[in-house]
Amino acid sequence: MKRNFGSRLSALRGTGEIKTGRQVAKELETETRIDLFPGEGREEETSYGRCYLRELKFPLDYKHGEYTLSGFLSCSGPVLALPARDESLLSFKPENTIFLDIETTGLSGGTGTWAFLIGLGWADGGHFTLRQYFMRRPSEERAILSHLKASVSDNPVLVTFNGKQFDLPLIRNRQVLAGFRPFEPEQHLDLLQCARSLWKKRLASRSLRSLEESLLGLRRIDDIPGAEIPEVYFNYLRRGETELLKKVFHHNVLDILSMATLLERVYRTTSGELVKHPAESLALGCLCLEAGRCYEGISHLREAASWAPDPLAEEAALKLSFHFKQQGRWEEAVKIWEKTAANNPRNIPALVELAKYYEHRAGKYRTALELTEKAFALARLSGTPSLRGCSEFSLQALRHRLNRLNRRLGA
Amino acid sequence: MAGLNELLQQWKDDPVFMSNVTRWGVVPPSEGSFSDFPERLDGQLQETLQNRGISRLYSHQARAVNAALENNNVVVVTPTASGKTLCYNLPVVSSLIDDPSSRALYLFPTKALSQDQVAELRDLTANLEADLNCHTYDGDTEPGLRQGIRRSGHIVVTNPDMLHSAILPHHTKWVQLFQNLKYIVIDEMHQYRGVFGSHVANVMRRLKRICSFYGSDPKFILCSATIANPGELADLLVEEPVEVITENGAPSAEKHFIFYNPPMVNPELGLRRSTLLEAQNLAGALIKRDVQTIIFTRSRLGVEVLLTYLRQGLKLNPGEDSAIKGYRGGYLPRERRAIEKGLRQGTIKGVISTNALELGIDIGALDACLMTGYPGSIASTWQQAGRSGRRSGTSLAILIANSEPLNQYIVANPEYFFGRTPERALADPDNLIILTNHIRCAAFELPFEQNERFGRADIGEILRFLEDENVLYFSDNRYHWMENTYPAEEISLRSATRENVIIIDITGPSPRVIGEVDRFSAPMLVHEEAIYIHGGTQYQVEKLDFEEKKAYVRQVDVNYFTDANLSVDLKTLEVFEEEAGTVNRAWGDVRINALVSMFKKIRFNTHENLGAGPVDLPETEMHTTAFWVSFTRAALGGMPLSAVQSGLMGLAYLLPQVAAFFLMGDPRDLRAVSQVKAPFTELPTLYLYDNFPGGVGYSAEIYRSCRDIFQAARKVITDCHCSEGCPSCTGPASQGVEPGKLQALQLIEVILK
Repeated sequence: MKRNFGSRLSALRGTGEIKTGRQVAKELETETRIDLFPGEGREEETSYGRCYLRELKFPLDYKHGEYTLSGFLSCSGPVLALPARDESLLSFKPENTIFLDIETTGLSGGTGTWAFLIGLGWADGGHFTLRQYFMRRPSEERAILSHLKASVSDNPVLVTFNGKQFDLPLIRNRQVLAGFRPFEPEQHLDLLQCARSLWKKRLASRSLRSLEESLLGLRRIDDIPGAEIPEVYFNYLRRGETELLKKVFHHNVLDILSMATLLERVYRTTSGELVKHPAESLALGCLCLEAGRCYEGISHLREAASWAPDPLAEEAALKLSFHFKQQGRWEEAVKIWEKTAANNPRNIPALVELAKYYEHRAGKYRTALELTEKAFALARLSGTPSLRGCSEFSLQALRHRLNRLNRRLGA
Repeated sequence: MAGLNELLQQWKDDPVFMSNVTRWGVVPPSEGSFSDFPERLDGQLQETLQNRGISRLYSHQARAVNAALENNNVVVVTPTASGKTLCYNLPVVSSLIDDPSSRALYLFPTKALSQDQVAELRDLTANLEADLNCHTYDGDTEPGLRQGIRRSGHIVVTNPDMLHSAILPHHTKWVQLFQNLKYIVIDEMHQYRGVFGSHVANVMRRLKRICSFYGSDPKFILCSATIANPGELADLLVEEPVEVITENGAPSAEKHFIFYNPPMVNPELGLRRSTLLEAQNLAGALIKRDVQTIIFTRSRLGVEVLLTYLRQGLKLNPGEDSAIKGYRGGYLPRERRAIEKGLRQGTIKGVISTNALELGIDIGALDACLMTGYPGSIASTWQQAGRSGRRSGTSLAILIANSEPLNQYIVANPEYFFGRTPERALADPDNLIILTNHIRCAAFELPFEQNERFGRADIGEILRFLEDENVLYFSDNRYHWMENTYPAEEISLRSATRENVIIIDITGPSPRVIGEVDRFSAPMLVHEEAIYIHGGTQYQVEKLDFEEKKAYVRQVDVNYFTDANLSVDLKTLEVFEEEAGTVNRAWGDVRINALVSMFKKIRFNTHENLGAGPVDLPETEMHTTAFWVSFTRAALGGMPLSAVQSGLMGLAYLLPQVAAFFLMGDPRDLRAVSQVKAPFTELPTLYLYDNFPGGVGYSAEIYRSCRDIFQAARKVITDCHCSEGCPSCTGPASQGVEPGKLQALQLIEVILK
C-alpha cells in the first residue's frame, strides 16, 4: 500500500531533498560564510557576537544624477535650519553628518517589525563611505545594533528621509527590545520635512523617487519596489534565496546616495542659489516670515508674486499682504488687495480684507458694503460653505458683516 | 420619601395591581460594618479622606486595601453604591505617594467609564503633595498629549481594546509604564465573560509577558458585580492566586423589589401586555408624586417611544418636558453630561435609558428604578436596581417581565435574587482560535522561547503551526515574528472571528451601519428578502454580499416576519467527558454544517404562512463544543417516536434560554439541535452547542450543572399557563409537528429521574 503524503514527505525531508524553513534557518546559523558580495562584505566581532557588513567607497567627485557626492560638504547650518524648521541645526557641520536609511520587514511599525538592512553613509578622507549592516539571521541583531551605535557616535549628526517618523523610531524599538539604550542623536535633519516645506506647491509627490526624477536628474532602472522588500527578506530566511536580496542592497545604496545629493539640493534652493520655480520662492518666503526673517521673506514673496503663474502669484501677494497687515503697514497691504481684486474680481479674501479695511480703518462704510456685497454674491455662487476652512470667508460671516454694515449706514 | 411610601401603600391595597405582582421583596436596611484606616495607608491620604468626612472605611474596603498593600492579588465583589472605587484607588494612590516612580494601569470596559474614573482620581489626588498624573488613553486622547502620558502618566486609564491594539504592540514606547507597573486594576470584571472574556484573558497573558520582559510584577485588583464564581473568573482572567472578598460592609437603606408580570392579553400565544405600556403607567404614578425615577429599556428605540408616551401621559405643561429625559448611545457627550448633572441635582425627575446608565456613570442615587424586561443577567438587574437607593429612606425597584421564557422564569422564581446567585461567568482562554490569534499578537510583541508557555497554556504545537504557516521564524531557539502585517489590527476583542457580516441600512441618503451578525447566523437572519428586526424597526434585506460580508437593508413596515429553514448537520468529533446510563450525557467537540435553503413569511399574531422563497447561500461550517443528552429505548418506555420528536423540538426551543440564565450568556450564544436518530449515538438526542467557533466554555458548564438547568426548564413548563406550548415555554406549535409541551416535560422527567 502506498504510504500517505505526510510520511513520504517527512522521509524526503530526512534525505535533504526537500528543505523546510527550519532547515534553511539551521544552515544560516551554522554557515557563517555567506559571501553575498565578495570583496565588499566582511564580518566584525562585537561583544554580542559577529555581524556582517558591506562597505563601498565612492570617490567624492562621483556623480549621482546631476550632482556629485562632495556637494553636501559645503552646506551650512543656518541655511538648513530654515526648511527643517529646527534651530538646533544652526550649528550643523556637514563633516559630522551620517546618512541613515533602513530596509524593514514591514511598514506598519510596532515591535514586530525588524530592520534587516541598515545603511549608513558618510564622508571621510576623500571618500564617501557607504556601509550596510545585514542581519543574516535574527540572532545577529544585537551585534549589529552595538556596532551601529559605535559608528553613529563618531558622526553625531543624523540625516534621514522620513527618519523622524519611521527609521529612527523603528531602530529605537529594536534597541529597547535588545536591551540597549535607545539613541538620541544630537542633531537630526529629516530631508522629507525639508522637501515638504520647499516643494509642496511645486511637486505632486515628495517621495524620494519623484524628487530624484524632478530635482536630482536621476531615473532608477530595474529598482525593486519598496512594497516587495519584506517578502524578499522572508524568502532569504526561509528558502535561502539571495538573488533579489542583492537588489534590495542596491536599492538601499541608491537611497543613501540620493539623500546626499538631495541635501545639497535643499541647501542650494534655500540659500537662493538654485531657485528654479516661483513656487520655491513662495515656499522660501513663507519659511523666512515664519522664522522672523522678514526682509528676506518679503523679497522672496515679491519675487514669487512678480513672475509666478496666476494662482501662485496671487497666493504670494496675499501672503505678503497679510504680513504687512500684521506689521501695520496698511498702505502696502491695501495696494496689494486692490491690485489683486482688480486682476481677479473673484478673489474673495482680497475683497473681504478691503472691506475690513474700509470699515474699521478708513470708516468708509459705503465702500465696505459694496465690497462685502460683491464677496457675498461670489461666495454664494461658488457654493462652497467656506473658503479653505477660513470661517471669516464663510457665507454666514459675510452675512453678519453685511447686516452690521447696513445697520451702521442706517444709523 | 413620603410620596413613595404613600404610593407603595396604595399599590399594596390595590388588588388589580397586586394580581400582577409575583413577589414583593423587601431588602431590610443594613447598618454596615466599618474598620479603621489600615496602618499602611499613607497619612496624607487618610487626612484627605477625613476632610471629606470619611473617618473609617467599610469593612470590605479595608480588607481590599490591606490585601493590595500587602502585595496580594485581590478581587472584590461589590454591589452598586458600596464604594468600590476606594477599594482600588486607595492602595494605588498610597503606593504611588510612597514611590512616585511606580505606575498603575486601569482597565474599564467602556470609554465613558474611564472619563468618570479620571475625574474621581484627580479629585482624590488634588490636595496631595505628590504630583500624580492620571490620564485616559484611548481613541479620544489628543495625539499631542499621548507622548507625555506614555512617559509620565502615573495612572493610565484605558480599555482592553486599546491595550490590545495600541499599547502592547508598541510597548517600547511605554518603557516607563511597564518597568514600574505596580498595580493593574480591572473594574466590572463580570463583563469579561464569554468571547470578550476569553479575549481579555489572553490580553492579560500578553500584558504579563511584557511586564516580565521589563522586570515588573504587577498585582491585580479586580472588582466585580455579584456572580457565583468571582474567584474562578478572576483566576481565568489573570491566572494568579487571588484573594476573594465577597462581604459587603456598606450600609444600605430599605429597598422594595417588586417582580411584576403584566396581565395576559392572549393566553394562546402567551402574549402579555407590553412592558413599555406598563412602565408608562407605573413611572407616571411615581413621577407625579415627585419620586425621582429611572426606567431602563432594552433598546434605543424603547427609550424614545417611552419618552414620548410619558411626556404625553403626564400632560406636562410646555417647558416641563425637560423634567423627563432620554439617555442612550447616540446622544452627544454634552447632552449626556447635562442629563447626568440634572439627575444629581434633582432637576430631572425621570430618565429613560438603555443600559448605558447601568455601569458606574455618576448620576447620584435616585428613588425608584423600573426595568422593562429582564436585563439579561441577575448581576445586571442588581446593577440597574442599584441606581435607586440612597443612604437613608426607602427606595424601589420594579422588574417588569415580558413574554419571553426567561422573563417568565424569572418572575416566577424571584428567589434567585434574594439568595445566592446561580450565575457563573465563564470564559475559555484556551479557545483555539482566540488563543492562536493572541499568540500571533504576542509573537509580534516579543519572540517566543522554544518551550515558553503562554499563561497556563502549553503552546508548542501552535507555535510550530504558525511557523509552518510562515508567520513565525524559528532561529536561535526562538520563534520570531516574520510577517509583514500588524496582527492586533485584524482581531476584535468583541467577536470570536474576524468574519462578521455588517448590516448596512440604505434607506436614507447616506448608508449607515446598524449592526452585525456572525457569519454562521447570517444565512438565517440576513438572507435576501429576510425581515431583519433591529431596535424595534423592520428592515428588509435587499442584498447579501456573502463574499464581502455585507448585508444591505431598507426600512419597511410589513405585517409578517421571516423564518429561515435551517438544516443543521452535527457531527461529533471527540468526546471529552460522558456519563452513560439509560440517559447519556456528554460534552465534546463537534462540527456543525448548516444550510439554509428556504424561508417562510409568517404573519404576526396569527402565524399564518404567507408564502415562501428560496435561499441560495453556501453551507457554513463551524467547529465548536457541544453538550448532548440522548435517550435509550429503556429510558423512553414506549413513548412514540413522533412524541419524542415533538418533545425534543420543545426542549430545543426552551433550553438555550434557560441555560443562558445560568451561564450569564445571551440566549443567542447557545444553539440547540435535536435529532430523532442521531448518527453518532443512534438515539434520540438533544444537542446544545456554543454558537462560537471553538466554544467559550458553555458546553462544559452545562454538562456540570445539567440537573439545575433541566430542573429550571421543568419549572418554566409547569408554571406556564398555556395548554400545548407557547412562546413563553416550549415554543408555539409549528406547522407539521405536534405541539411539544407535555412531551418535553416527559423527557425532562426521564433526565431527572
